[in-house]
Order: sequence, then structure tokens, then C-alpha cells
Amino acid sequence: MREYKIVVLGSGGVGKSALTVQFVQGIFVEKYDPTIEDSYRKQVEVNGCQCMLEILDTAGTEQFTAMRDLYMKNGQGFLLVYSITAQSTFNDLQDLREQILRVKDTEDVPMILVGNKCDLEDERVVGKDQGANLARNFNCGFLETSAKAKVNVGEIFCDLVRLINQKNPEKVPKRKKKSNCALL
Amino acid sequence: MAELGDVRIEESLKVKIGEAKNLPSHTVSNSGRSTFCSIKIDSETIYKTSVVEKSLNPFYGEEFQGEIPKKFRFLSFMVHDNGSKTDKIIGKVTLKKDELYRYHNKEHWFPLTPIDVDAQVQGKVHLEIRFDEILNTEPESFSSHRMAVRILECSDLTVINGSCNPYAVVMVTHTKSKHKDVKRTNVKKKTICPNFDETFFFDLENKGQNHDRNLYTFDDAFNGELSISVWHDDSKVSREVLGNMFPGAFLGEVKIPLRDLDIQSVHKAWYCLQARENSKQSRLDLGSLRLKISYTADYVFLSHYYNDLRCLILRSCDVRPISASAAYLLGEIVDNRAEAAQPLLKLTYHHGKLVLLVKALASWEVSKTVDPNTLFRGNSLVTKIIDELMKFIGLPYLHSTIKINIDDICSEQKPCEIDPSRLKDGENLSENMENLKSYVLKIIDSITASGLVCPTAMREVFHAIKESAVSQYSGMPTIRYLVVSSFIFLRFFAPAILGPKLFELRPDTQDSTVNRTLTLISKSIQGLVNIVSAKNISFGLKEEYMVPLFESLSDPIHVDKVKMFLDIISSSCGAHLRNIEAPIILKEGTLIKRAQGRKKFGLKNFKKRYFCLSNQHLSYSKSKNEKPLCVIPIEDILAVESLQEESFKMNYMFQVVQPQRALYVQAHNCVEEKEWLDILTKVCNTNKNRLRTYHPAAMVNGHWLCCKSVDIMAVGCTPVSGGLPVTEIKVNIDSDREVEKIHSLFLTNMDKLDAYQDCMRNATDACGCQEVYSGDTEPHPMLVIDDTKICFETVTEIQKCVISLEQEHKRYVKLVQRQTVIGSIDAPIGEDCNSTSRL
Repeated sequence: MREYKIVVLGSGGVGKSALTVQFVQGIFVEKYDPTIEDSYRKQVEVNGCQCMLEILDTAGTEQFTAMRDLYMKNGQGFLLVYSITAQSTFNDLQDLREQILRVKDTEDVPMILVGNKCDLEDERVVGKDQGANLARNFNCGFLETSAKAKVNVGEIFCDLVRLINQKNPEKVPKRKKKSNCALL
Repeated sequence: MAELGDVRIEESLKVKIGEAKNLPSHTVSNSGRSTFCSIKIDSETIYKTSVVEKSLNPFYGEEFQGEIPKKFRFLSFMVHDNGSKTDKIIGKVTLKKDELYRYHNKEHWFPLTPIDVDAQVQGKVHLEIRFDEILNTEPESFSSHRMAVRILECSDLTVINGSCNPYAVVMVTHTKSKHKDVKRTNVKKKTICPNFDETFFFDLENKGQNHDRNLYTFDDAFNGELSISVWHDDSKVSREVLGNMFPGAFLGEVKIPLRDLDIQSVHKAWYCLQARENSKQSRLDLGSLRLKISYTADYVFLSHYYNDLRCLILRSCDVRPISASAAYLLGEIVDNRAEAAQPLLKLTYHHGKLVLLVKALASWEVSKTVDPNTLFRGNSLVTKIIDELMKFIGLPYLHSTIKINIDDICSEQKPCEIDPSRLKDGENLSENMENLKSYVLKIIDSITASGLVCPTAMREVFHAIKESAVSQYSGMPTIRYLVVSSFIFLRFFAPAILGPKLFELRPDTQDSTVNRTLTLISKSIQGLVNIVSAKNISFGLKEEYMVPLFESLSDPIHVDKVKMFLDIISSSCGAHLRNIEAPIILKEGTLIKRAQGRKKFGLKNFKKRYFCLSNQHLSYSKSKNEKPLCVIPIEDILAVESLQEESFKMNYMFQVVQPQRALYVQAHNCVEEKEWLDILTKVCNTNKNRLRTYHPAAMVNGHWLCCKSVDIMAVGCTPVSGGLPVTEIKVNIDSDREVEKIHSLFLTNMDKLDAYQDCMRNATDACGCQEVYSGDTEPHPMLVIDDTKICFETVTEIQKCVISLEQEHKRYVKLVQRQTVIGSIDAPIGEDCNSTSRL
């Protein structure tokens, strides 16, 4: 089974852990406990293929930048998460993306821009079009999510797996199972 | 208008060494290499990373930060192979000082280039060249010339394998005849600044040309080239036994076409030594190195130039709304808020306005935050200022609190893995759990017992943010713990435990097992803090394997301890708490010291000792954990100054002057020397009996080298270096320099300020300005304007201050350009970087 190393990045309090735990356990964590570094494994089926996702949920505070470098070096795909209720969390992503590209030394890194807390429509300050524009600028995927209402949570992870597949198609195993393993 | 002497240049360097990739493999074994990376300014190594074992893509992940105390031309990074016995350099990155701005604060991959011995050149040579006309007695002959080349001295030569025994070779090459005239100076021992003062004569008319004089015109003689090369005489053997077969190591050369010299005048100038051209440059791919370099040179004027801008910034804490203050606006226009937070913190701290500013910014942020759970979690100006405060004054506190625990963890190497899927063979889960738990509890005990020694400024700031949060969310009893812990734990203790090297808790990076242990401890402690600040306790949602540990940590004993600690460090502290601060270690490390002569017949030899400076004394011992051999109370330090190299023919030496004697100490490099000098000067600055004069050199062979006095107790001959006015013992802040930094931040972001101003001018009514970052253009952060009128006034004032300061800078640059004498020691001929170019 192919393994995928996914790293969840973004400022503090945007809901990185909530999204990850919702995806892995199917539960919404109400508390905003700061994370130092948590890792999870989950098996999913994407396009008919079984994939083992190794998800690294990271700290939002910037004191951990030296670690961040290491996550970026080791990660294959990245979720860049902001909260639609806080402009600064959206602005912070520019630097994060730039750092990923520098560390990877390429322009083409599988990543998805994620606007979380879309259930809090009343408190929205970052418009959906802003997110879409930034994603176009980043040349990456974009979805608005809600860990609480379970909106698009599975999708961001599966889309990211597809992007990783696109960039690094798996070498077709010897016993051919092409029919149910159509890669995008 | 500023005079030349009124301006000082303060240079600082910050480097992140990320990683290397695609290093060449060993040709034989084709395996990985053990490597480390070093930083050099010119030929001096100022930093080394830890060794990364067996990898061709080593990840270093280290940071260096320091003040650069001397003029330099090149900044280099060397990747060393640690496997071989002799130091082998795989490749290097060399950057000229004047191209550093191009890479400023941005990460880059730099290709590694091969080491070229002939290119490792630094320093300069002082020459005097004149021409004497020789009148021939024979009536029909032309006058001929004799050139006198006087080699006066050199300075800052390269040190090779720890020594430098320089000599110079003077050579005149005649283009046409290919004839070479070679002369050399004597060898000077153990000095990088040799004083040769030898003169050599060259006849510029070839012998034998009298027969056919017409063939040689006067010009021909001048078609040649004068070259002066400097060499390190590395072995007596090669010189005396092998008869000069090997000239020694090349230190640099200067080539002057004779045509360029004016025969009528005496030509006396300093020249930069240049690298030798090397034809055999290999084109090997040596891999590349990822670096982030921030180099800044602040041109600091006299204090009064900064008064306007300083007042404007310090007034910020009284401006309401705070979002219309100069400090807030600075935080909005910079690319990275930490850049603004550093000078703002130091300036407001120095002038006693920090707490007021934090209070104002925190209250404003509280009022803008919708969900109290996310309070102070983002990267706002106030969170950055508190971050910087903890880094700036909190390190001694951090060290005295948990260094001993971290040292134990790193040396004991007990297995602590509690994730069943990561267990190694033969490891026992419950045993590991006990190991981990015991480490965690020890650290919690250390931290929770440290409440009273937490630095006052940190406690005052925590008090301020707690008050602002509690007043808004009075119905939420845990909010006080939530906000204080989000600084002291989430941004201070937790990252320090995770990366002890970055917080100077450990001298080197740890292996992966210890790193994992530290990660688990950091997670556990943050987990306990999360329990403390939670309304109701629930586990089991996040990582499963952590649950049993969290359950045992949730015992009220631990929870209450943490609560009490958080309460103490955020209490409004009275004066009674200030005096119980225990001795705090300020700096420690290995240095070489000369015997002080405390014993009458002791040898005056040099020995390696482990030095430790606390806020109460300076002491040294044989090695780290041994009893001190000598303890000098801070009150006994009368002066701290550097020591002239000629005293012991050793560089990076400084002296700690005491009532009866002086202690002479040698650091490893100029950066380290400056760090010790700075911190020692700070701690003894308030001593009442500080000296006014001192001896810049040592007493050798019965007399002071500096003033020739033979009396050991003779009063110093040179005034002590001024030092800056200091109000606090522990931290020395250069207020003018901080304002200068703020000035240059405003200046580089002037376009944004102008844009805000236009925007506000157009908005007739308040709150009309909403510049929204749409995502598809360059990110222009949205400026929240609460009061257009006040904000407009502030922006106008900032522009006024910045423009007038900038005019002063421009005037200064012109003045420097006018007064620079090419060929003087400060502006040698052939220097490729013009130190006066500021913009």
C-alpha cells in the first residue's frame, strides 16, 4: 500500500487539529488546545486505490519554525489552513507557501488552500472569492471547510492524495490492476 | 549636520543554515558523509553546526545571530567532511559583503563551489614607492631611474593552521625581456599585522642597453609590472633544508603596472591583497546549501537626531485608539511583524513604556477577538512583542529553571517512546512510560517552583494581558490561565524543550531518539497546561497513546501547581519580589586564560578553562561541572577591555581588571570576544569603583608594553572605552540604534504608508478605508482604521520624521564620499566593496 506524508500547516487557532481529528476519528473537537506536534495514520480509498495517510498536525505558533523546516522537507503534500473569520491567518499563508517552495526547491508542490470555519458565516471576514484568488495565485486547489459541520473534510485530504499522485505517479506494480487503479 | 565622527556603524548578522543537498558521495564507498557546516567572516570561523551523520542531504536546521565587531569583505559558509581525520572541506559558498542585501531575509539555495587555496585572501599591505633619478657620469648617456619600493606593513592577514609567519616578496617583471627581479623581506613571526619597513631598489634601465641605446626608450623600462606578494612561512624545513623550493602558503598579492605610477611624486598607499588567478577551476557539481541570511548595518547618529521619532513611538501607548499609533502602524506595514516587534520592544522597555504599550495593544486585540478560545493565538504585534521580550530577557531564567533537566535527559538517553507503533525491539512500553513520566514531572516541578524568579518585566506583561482578558471575559474562569499559558508555555517552555539548541540550552543538536523524547515531553507538558486551562476535561480525541499519560497528569496535585505558578507570574508584583532573584547564569563557555600570578612562583602559562558568569560573580573551573578554581565577585571587576595583540602575540584577547591584577583571557573568535566583553561590561557597569583609565597592553618583561612604565601598579595610560549609558544591569539597550532600525523599517515601507494616506484622504468620513487583500495582487494587508483623523495625523508625523532623518543620512553619505581618501587604511586601493554605500 502506498504511503502519503501529509502535513497540516497554518496559524494558531484556525482549526488544523479539528480538521485532522474530524477526518481521522470522525469527531469534532470543541476545545482549542494548542498542538505541539501530533501524528495520525489513516487508511482511505482514493480512486479505487487503498492509501495509507500519515498526517502530521503541527503547531501554529511561529516559535517552531526550525521544526517546520523539517516537516516541509519530509512532507509530500500540504494543507494550508486559514480561518475565514480571521484576516491575519489568511495573510500568514503567503510566507508559509514561500517557505515550502524554498525548502522543496521547486514551484510544483502538491498543496491545497483550506478556508476553515465556513459554518461561521456571520463572522466571515475572508470572502470565498479571496480564497479562490489566492489559490489561483498559488496555483493550487482550494476548498472551504467546516470541521464542526463536517463540510469538505474528507475532500481536502483525498484531493491532496490525487495531487500527490499526479506529481509522482506510482510505478505500476508488477501484477497489473489497472482497471481499478485509474490515476488522474 | 552630522560630522563623520558622530556616526557609528553597527553591523549584525543572522543566519539560518537549513540543509545541504546532493553532496558528492565518497568515490570509494559510495556512502553518505558525516558533515557539518561553518560560517566565516573573511578567514575567521565564527560558528559551527553540529555534525550530521552519514547523509548526502544533511539537515542542519541551526541559527546563528551576532554582532560583527570588525570590517569584513566576505561571508563564507563551508561544508566540512567530518569523516576524515584532517579537516576536509567539501565545498563553500562565498558572498561579498556588498551583495548580501540581495539575499536579505529570504531563503536561497546556493551552489557549493570548490575550495581554492589561492582565493582565501584577506588583509592589506601598506606600500611606498618613489623614483630616484640617477645621473650618469658619462655625458652622452640618458638619465636612468631607480625605483625604491618600501614595504611598510600589512594588516589582517589570513591565519593558516593557527599561525601566521608572514614575509613579502617584491618582484618587478619586465614585459619585453621577461626578466624578473625578485627580492624578499625577512619573516615576521606570529603576527597578522607584520611591520616590515624594508626598502628594495630596482634599476629601471636594463644593463647592457648602453650598446644600443635607441632600442630602449624610456617607456620600455616602464612597461613592466611591480608585484608584491605575501606568504606564510609555514616551515623552517622547507626554507632552510630544501632551499626555498616551497614558498609557503600564499596570503595574497598586489599587482601594479609601472606605467600607472607617477615618477615625479612619492606614492604611498594601502592596497587590498588580492586572490591569485587560478586556471585549474574544476566544474564539479558539489551540491548546494540552503541558507537564510539577514545582514544589517545601522548607521547610528548622535542621540538628538532621533528625538522626534523616538517621542512619536513612545507616545504610542497613550494614543487612542491604539490602532492609530505609530507603533501599531509599524506592525502593519512590515512584511514580518517580528521585525517591528524587536526594536519596539527594546525601545519601550528601555524607556519604561513596555507595559503600557502591551496593555493598550492587548486590550485592543481582546476587543477585536470574537472567540476567547483563539485569543493571542495568532501572530499579532502584541504577541510578537511578548515573544521578543521572553527571548530577550528570559533566557537566563529559562536556563536556571530547566537546563539541568534537559542536560539529564540528553545524557541519560533513557527510552521514552510510548507510541506502540514506534516501539523499538526489546523496549517495554510500561517502562518507557515510567521514564517519560518521571522526566515530565521533574520539569513540571522545576517550572512551577520558578514563579518567584521569573523576571519582573515578564511578570508585569503577563499581568497586563491577563487583566485585559479577564475584564472582557469575566464569565470565563479559565481565561486567565489560557492567556498566560499561551505565552509562558506555548511560546517559551514548550519550544525550548523541543529545540534546546535554539534557546542555547544545549551546545549541539540531539540525535533522533533524544529529539523524540524531548518532543514527547513538550507534548505532555502542553497537554497538562491544556487541562489546566480547559473548562471540562476530556481526552481520547487526539492521539490515543497519549491518553494514559494525560490521565495521570490531570491529578489535581499537578493541575494546582501549574495554576499557582501561572497566578504568581501574572500577579501585580510589588517591590518585595524583586530582591529575591537568585544568582542567574548569564554566560558560560570554554576560554583560554593566562595564569594570573596569584601564586608567587607560578608559571605564567595559558590554560583552557570553563568560565561562568552570573549576575554575582565570574568564575572558572577545570571543566564544566567542577569546583571553581577562582571566583571573582562582580564588585571586583574594575574594567573590562580588549587587550592589544602584541602583548602575547595572540588575538581575541581581553582583560578583566581587578584591584590587584588583571585576568587575561582569549576567546575563539572576534564575535565571541565581543559577546564576553559586552556582557561583562554590562554586569559591572554600575560598580562604583570602576576605573577611568587602563593599560591596553599587558606587562611583559617588567614593563607595560603600552606606556613603558615599569611599575606594576601604575595607573592606566588610556581612558576606558565609554560604554553606553546603562540604567539596567542585565540588559544594555542602545536606544538610538533601535530608533534607527525603526526609521529604516518605515523608510523601506514608505510606499505602504503613502498608500494609506491617500486612502484616508479620499475617505471623507471615518472608517471609510477598507483596503482588502483580494488575493490576486501583491499582499497588501488590510488596515483596520478606527479613527481616520488621528491615524492620518500619525502617518503625517511619521513621514515628517523619517524624511528629515533620511536627509541627514544622505548628507552623511555625501560627506563620507567627499572625505574618503583612496589608499588610506580605511579605503585601500582595490577594495571591492564600498562601505559607504548605504542604500
